[in-house]
Amino acid sequence: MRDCEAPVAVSGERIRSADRPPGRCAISGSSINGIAALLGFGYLLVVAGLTLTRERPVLPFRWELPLGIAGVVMLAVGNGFGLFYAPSEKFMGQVGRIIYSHVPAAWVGMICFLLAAVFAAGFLFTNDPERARRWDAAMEAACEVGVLEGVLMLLTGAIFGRPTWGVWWTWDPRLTSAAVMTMSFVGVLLLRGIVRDPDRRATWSAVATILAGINVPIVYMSVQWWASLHQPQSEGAGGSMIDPSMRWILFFNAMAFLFVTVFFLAARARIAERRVEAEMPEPLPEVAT
Amino acid sequence: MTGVIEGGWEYVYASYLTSWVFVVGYAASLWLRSREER
Repeated sequence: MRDCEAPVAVSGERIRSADRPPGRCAISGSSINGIAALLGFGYLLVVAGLTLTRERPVLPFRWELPLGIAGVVMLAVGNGFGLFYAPSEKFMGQVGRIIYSHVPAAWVGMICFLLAAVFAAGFLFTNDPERARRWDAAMEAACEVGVLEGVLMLLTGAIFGRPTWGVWWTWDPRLTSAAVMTMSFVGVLLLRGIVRDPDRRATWSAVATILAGINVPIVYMSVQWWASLHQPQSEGAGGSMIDPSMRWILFFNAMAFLFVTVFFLAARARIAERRVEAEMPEPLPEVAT
Repeated sequence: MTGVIEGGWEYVYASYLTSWVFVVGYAASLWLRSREER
């Protein structure tokens, strides 16, 4: 534990903590994040190792369940940090606390969309029917969860924009490209809904997903390529825009969102796999020779 | 005028509440669909 520090007023960068109650000890946020990351990602590595060495993980429960529970608990704790512990932002005041719900949703949403494109490529480049079904199920899950996070990003962004910019929406490059990205994947889901044949559905939506995935780097770079009202990336090549006292809380919430999202992805992929299996035709009866 | 946004807690609560509605709502939908698929 660090010694209690006097309030720090930092200027110069976009987002800086404006106040910290005098004599308040700073929790070692990096330690908390380090422990959470070690446990969460360590668990994922163990599960991945079990999956690769065996046909299915040898666990008496669904592997994603502990991650989902941990994610929800972390999200509750992280929101508590954001509401009651985090300092207010230098210019946005208390409204700056919205970053702890808006930014994680944006990050994880874009990760989901990227994953969907990767799974789509995996489907298109595999020859094994069993693996192709799994890639397709994973792609469907990533598209749907990504749309969920994308819509959440747009909604929380509008809630953020109203008190800071004075408008719920503006046709700013970042906002517009994010909306286009989310709607592209909504289109992929609609395509999957209207195509009955499983093979065509998988192939067509895989191609559409890869095309939609091109939006992700455009959204990320939009604030640099065009004059945008939206602030630049919080974490970019030039370093962090955020004061450390806020940054660790942001990362904590982002990790919580990520763990919850992994749970959603796994559960949704199971549902998609079962549906595809149900759609498969009955095997032909064996003919006695 | 100080140049700092004053108040705005209702927006903060709305944002956090929206996040939880989405998370809990989607978890519930997954659970219901998982039961249907079995």
